[in-house]
Amino acid sequence: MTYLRRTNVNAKKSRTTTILVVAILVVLFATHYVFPGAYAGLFYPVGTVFWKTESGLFGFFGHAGALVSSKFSLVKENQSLRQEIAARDASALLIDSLKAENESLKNSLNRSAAGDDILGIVLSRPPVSAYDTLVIDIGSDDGVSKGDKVYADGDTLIGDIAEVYANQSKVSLFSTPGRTISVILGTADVTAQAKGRGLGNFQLNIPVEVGVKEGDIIALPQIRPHTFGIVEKIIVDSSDSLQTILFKSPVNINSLRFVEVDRNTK
Amino acid sequence: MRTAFNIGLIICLLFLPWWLGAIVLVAACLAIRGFYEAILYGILADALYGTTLGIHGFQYPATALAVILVLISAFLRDKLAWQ
Repeated sequence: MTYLRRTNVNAKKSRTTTILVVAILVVLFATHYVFPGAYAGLFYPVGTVFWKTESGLFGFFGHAGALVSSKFSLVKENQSLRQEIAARDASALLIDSLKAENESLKNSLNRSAAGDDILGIVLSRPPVSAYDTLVIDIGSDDGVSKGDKVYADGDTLIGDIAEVYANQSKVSLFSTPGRTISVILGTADVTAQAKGRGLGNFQLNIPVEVGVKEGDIIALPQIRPHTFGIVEKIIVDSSDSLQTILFKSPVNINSLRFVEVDRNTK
Repeated sequence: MRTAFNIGLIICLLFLPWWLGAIVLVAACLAIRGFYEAILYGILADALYGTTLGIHGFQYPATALAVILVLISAFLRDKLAWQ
């Protein structure tokens, strides 16, 4: 039997191309390793244009369903929302007065809890980012610096600034998987190490003797009044001396559109 | 098809949930021989969204997964055949 001898020209060419491509990829990765902010600094200005367009499109299509809702259902919804607002107004007034009292007490002791907040638009959020990070449209040009605390809905602490570029910043959420942070359990005043589980969820282990119940507030040890998390579930194993507390941030990270960056905190 | 996958992956990287991008990436690696761009998208994902904290302390999860994916898909393409 006769076999045609295979030419090795194509194989040689293919091998050279593969080596070249791998070399380019290694150089690209090395650049990212040595200069971690290089690509982000390059792509954020371009990405911002697309992300802002996407927000507009999402806003249009996201509310398209309301156009076909019946007027009756809208009126009903409007009424229930008005009732809810009226009910919350009273408690909001009380909160405002308590905040003012808290601030004046701190001022009398030469401390201030007032922040220097700046509003940022969220350009990218989970689940687009698998890293529990946000990209926002304010940066060093707006006075933002690394380590600044980031709040959502005014008083809910969600993360801090990890990287700053001229007009964008990257926010690292405290709930990043594996990240640990010291928290204070509201009524018990016990400090514990909470571990991030992603998307605003946390877990901590404390002795069973510490009295914690579902709905308790979790805060961070800092002077500015804030909310950090709310206890969702307590898992107690009779054979274990520790109880597992699962708590989550009161804001929905997936639907965040705006955040406030406190330029006054470190 | 390569161009279509690349456009799709750029859209996934910027706008769509990460897991959708991962599915498209797996499909691209299996459908196209030598889809080395996968590693580039991994590097870009790490650069755009990752921080020094990483995930469970590892800073380059997307790059590492893309490299593993390219290697596994190359192996599978050699061993399997489909129309």
